[in-house]
Amino acid sequence: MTLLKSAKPALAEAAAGAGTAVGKAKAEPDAQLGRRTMWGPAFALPHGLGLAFFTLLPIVVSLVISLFNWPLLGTPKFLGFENYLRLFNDPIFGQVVRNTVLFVILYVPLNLVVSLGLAAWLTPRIKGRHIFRVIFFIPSITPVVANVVVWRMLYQPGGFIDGTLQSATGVSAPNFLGDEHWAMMAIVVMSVWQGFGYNMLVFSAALDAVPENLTEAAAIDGANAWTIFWRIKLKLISPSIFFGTMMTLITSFQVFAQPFILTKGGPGSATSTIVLYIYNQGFQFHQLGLASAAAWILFVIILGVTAVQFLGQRKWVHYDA
Amino acid sequence: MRKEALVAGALALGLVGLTGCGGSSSGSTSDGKTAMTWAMWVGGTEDQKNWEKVADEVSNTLGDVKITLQGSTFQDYFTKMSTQLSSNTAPCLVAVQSLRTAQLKDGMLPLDDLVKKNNLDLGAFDPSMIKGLSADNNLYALPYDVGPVMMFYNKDMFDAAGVPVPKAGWTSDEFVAAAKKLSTNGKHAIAPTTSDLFIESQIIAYNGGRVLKEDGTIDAGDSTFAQGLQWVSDLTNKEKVSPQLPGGDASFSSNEFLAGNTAMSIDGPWSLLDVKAKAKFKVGVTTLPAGQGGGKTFSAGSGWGISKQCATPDKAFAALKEMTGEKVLGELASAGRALAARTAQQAKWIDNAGIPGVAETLKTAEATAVPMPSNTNSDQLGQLFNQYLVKSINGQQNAADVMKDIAAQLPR
Repeated sequence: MTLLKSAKPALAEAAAGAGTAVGKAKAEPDAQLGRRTMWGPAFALPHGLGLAFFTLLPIVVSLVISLFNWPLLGTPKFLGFENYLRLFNDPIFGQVVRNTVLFVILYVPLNLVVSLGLAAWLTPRIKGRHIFRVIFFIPSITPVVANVVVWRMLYQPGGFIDGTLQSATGVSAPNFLGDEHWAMMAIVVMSVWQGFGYNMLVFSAALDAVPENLTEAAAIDGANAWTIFWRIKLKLISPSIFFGTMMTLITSFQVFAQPFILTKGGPGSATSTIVLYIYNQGFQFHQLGLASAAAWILFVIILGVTAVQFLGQRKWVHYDA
Repeated sequence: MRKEALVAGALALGLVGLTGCGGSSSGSTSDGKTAMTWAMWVGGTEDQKNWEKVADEVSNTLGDVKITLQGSTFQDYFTKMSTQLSSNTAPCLVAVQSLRTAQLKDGMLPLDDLVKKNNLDLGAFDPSMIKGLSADNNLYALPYDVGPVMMFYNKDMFDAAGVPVPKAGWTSDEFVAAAKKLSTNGKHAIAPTTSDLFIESQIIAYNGGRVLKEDGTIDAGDSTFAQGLQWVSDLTNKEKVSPQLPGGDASFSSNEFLAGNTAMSIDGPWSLLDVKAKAKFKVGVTTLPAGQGGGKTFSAGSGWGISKQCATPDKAFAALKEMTGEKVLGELASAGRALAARTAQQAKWIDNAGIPGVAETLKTAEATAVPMPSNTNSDQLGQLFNQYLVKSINGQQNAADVMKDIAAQLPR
């Protein structure tokens, strides 16, 4: 306290003094600081360079490319915002964006409900919960391509679903991937199966971390299991749910592999998503400018949705346990 | 702070220098030979051995070059090659498929002057392939294989159904009649395909309709083609001799054929020996069923050319000449890898195939084959076929409307 008191007038004096005096007083600690942190930037340099070269530079370049008609082979031509205008007026791109939004609306809640449900069920009282956890996590760590091959066998006419339904009821199942009304649903179901494992692990760990004294106290007060889960556990793991929702939202806007392998975006454009569109424009049709513009539109969409999430979280996420 | 900035700057420049050194298309080996990379698609270990043998043989024959194979899968090859050609990292020798000549031509060297200078006789090659590997009246590659699209059939299934095996030159009416008899007990006569080369061949054989015109332009609104597509779709929906398509699976038709679920499959001679080896039944070949105004088929094949970035085009051409010479193509034909683009070497492939009727079918098919032209938008058309033909074939929309949707999405 005494130190602080004596320092204050000194600072006030210096501030009141002439300009040169201020300069001197400031330069000294700065020079000291500089010497001490020489190694700091040096250690940060490799990472900084990596960030600059492999993240910042490509981002800037893609923004520049999006303003050009940039074929893979041949000379680029400056277009200004024409690529963006073309995308906004393209009915196919409109449908592609609607498809992606539909996928997100169907997939994210389903994923959260399934992963949260299974995490809640896998309480420490369940025998062999570790084995179940591993089993539920397997789809997340196997390659999508392998999963898709299996799901194709389930979905195709004469496949497992159709075959089982026919032998049991005599009615044949719809041609899931070959019918435009079913294809998106089929992709959502397959994606949920593939993707819930990660969130389930996060939620399961968060549920385990809920202090037992709180749930015990509630039980003594007469709360049943459902009320404890709904009113106490769910509130306490809300930061994890927020994290899960956020990451799932972002990755689901980027859905690509499932439609790419299962349907190629068809029938028609029924399962074309934004990233599939970007891939086709960029690497199939060699229109790098148009692909970059579409990528920036996707970036803005994701940024917007994430910002809304962050604003909304204040209402339902509780960080103070 | 200035020192740090200097250190950072120096390091950054060093990094740029490092990356700038990467990728050169030719150089020299330690023993003074010209090193040359050859980009080629590779279908497996067996394939890899075939091409490596070609590289070694040609290197030995020429003496002053060393050719190294750069293999990738056929699916990835064209994306990879376009990227390499555009980023100045392409190898000297580049493989190209006749259907995709127009897409790669901007990065490739026209060979016409080199052909003249070296007195190479192009007349020894199949004329449809010389045409197929040309664009804007320039030749971009020397062909190594060729093949008219044809019909493979499962002889055991035909015998079991009591249907005589089809003869080269059969008609679409005969095809439908046979197909009805073959479609029993959950089996079908043929599975639909959305692969551009195969469906376009099926339709040009049926009524002569085509979306890729002779001059290489695309007209997806062609009404004759739409009628042909309707006929193909009706095989599924009306005649019930074909199953529905289960989504975008390019190999559905050939997989169903190999699994013994269908009696026929449209394919090219390049996969005949592979199919014969994998199939657990007797494989036969015939021409595509011909209808009124049709009777043709498309031919496609591949060749090797030189990238514009190649520093030693004369040496690269000397290598090309050997690679597509009588000796190498004769060996590839005997090994069953490629139906030689040199007509004189084709007999070796036919002998090796050992499939009855293959010589007669090839003769008939080649007489009616027209080269499949290439267009810069061919890939886009192929992609749209994969997405949209499902709707026509599965009976959700009529063929003419589907083709209208496709036409609307192609650049005009």
